[in-house]
Amino acid sequence: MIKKEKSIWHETCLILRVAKRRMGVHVASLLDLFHDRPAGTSSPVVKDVDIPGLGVVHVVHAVDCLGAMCPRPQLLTLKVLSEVGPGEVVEVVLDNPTAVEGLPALAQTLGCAHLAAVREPDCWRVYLRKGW
Amino acid sequence: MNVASTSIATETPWLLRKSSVQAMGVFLFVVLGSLWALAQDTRFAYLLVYVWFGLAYGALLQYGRFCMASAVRDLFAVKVPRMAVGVMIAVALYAVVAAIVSLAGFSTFHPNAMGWHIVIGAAIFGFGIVFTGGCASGSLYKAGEGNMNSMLVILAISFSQAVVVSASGWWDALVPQSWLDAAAAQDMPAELTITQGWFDIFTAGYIWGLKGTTMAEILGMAETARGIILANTLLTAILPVMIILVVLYVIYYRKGYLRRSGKANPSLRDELAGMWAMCTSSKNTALAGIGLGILAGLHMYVTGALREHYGIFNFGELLVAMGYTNGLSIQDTVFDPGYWYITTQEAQWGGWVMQKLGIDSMDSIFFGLDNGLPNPLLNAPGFMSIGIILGAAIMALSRREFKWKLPSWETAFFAIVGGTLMGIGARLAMGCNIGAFFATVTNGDPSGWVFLVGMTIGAYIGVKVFTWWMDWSSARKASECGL
Repeated sequence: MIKKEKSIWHETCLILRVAKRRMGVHVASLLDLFHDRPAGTSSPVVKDVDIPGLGVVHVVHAVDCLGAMCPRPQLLTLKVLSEVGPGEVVEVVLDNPTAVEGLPALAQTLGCAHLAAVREPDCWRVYLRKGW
Repeated sequence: MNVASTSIATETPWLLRKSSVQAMGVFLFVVLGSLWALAQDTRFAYLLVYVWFGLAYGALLQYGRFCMASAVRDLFAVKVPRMAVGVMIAVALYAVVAAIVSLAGFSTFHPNAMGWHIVIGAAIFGFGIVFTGGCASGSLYKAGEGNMNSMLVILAISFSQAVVVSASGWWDALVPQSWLDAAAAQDMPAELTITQGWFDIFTAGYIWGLKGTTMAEILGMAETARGIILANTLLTAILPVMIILVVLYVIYYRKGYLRRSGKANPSLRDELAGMWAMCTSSKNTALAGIGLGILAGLHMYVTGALREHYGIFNFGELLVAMGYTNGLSIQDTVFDPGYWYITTQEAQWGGWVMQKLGIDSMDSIFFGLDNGLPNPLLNAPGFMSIGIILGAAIMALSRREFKWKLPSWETAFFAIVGGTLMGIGARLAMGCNIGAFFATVTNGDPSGWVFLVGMTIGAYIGVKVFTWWMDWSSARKASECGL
């Protein structure tokens, strides 16, 4: 009798634990929808990029603005451009059309050259060269 | 300058792309929906005008990445005048078309009451737009690009406005006794309970005591062609636009332009060429500004002509004639500005949902006396907002710029807080940067410039706070990584 009750108790616990775990996975996947990655990071890189129509460009700093809302892409680009040396090239990766549109004007204000805006399937790679 | 804008050539022709087919699908959906509405009752043509102008606004906003929030924000954040110039172009064009529409006698415009509330509301609104990444229309077109952050902003604007206009209880302590006395002296139906609810007291006790006029009326030239052209268009819109363009040129563009063109001693001709270069530096934005200005004027004309055709002053009368009497105000009216407007219809969405949840707000002046709380399916300006989302979606899909984007916790928080502030600001100032600025200054109402001043102050403070937050959070992250 006791044994039987115990097994029912165990079974219930087991079912509850499985349900809890499933729920946990479900809730976690829901939370994953809100990516916790900070939208907008910048890091020094060294790479050569072949820009169509412009040739190979040496990039020294990359700004990742995927998922970032304005004015973060603009402000980050401004910050990075103030940190790199004259003549150096910065790569900005964006998926925010409004920010892409604003970068040529930003480059002009800062006296930088807007080298290219390369269209990728779901983002843009914009190359800016700091002026001398 | 060495500028090369390149795109990775996709070999698929436009017509065969998946996103283009989706764009056409959305367009077809709007066409079929319009035909269905007309099949119900041809008088829905009045509502469909809002839908199709909204669609065109959305497409143009997306095409020119016409983010009005950045017009004031970017001046302080990154010292870029691109959008400020775009908005000024749109204002000039809208003013010219609005003058023609007014001369033809089809203007649907009503001036806003002038007062301190505009500066305060606009400053709160301007502070909010820095954190949401777009103004009210900007959030609509960005929502059409698949940006869920902007959808959150729209929700926040809708509900915060609905709460602001109907809240009472401790909120009533926010307004002075003199407004309460003035409100109590108004001869209004008891069902509106205008001495309860801080926004009712604000409206009846303060706003109704203010005067809203056009420049033509101030100068004693109302209703005359001279008044419309000289006072309303030239003096209130074109002249300030010219002054602002010159100021923008001198502060933000002149130095760089002269350096690039290598002119040490510029002549007037060079300066004019520089101003022209500033206005045309972003072609998409300039074209969108021209298109939006003209369309916004035409919108007034079409709605005005339809009102004349149906013999009505307000869409509410048409709704009654068609047999829809639910959700009308006690004057049998609904919100129906007859021109580009954003925030009030979003407040109605929020208010309608709250009503369905059992929180009735029809005893407020905003809903009960003026704007009503119609079913969103019969909310004509509401369909303009939906039209903007769909128009932007069509444009974004056809240009392969549509992308579902989920917010991070941080941006979602900013969207809700910023959107709430935008809602509060828009209600205090009686509109957003469209209804209280764009539509007013172009129709001879100088209160719009006061709104712009307020919004600029708010955006300036917003940029300061936002930059501080970015520096603080990145410094904190760096120190965490260091540990």
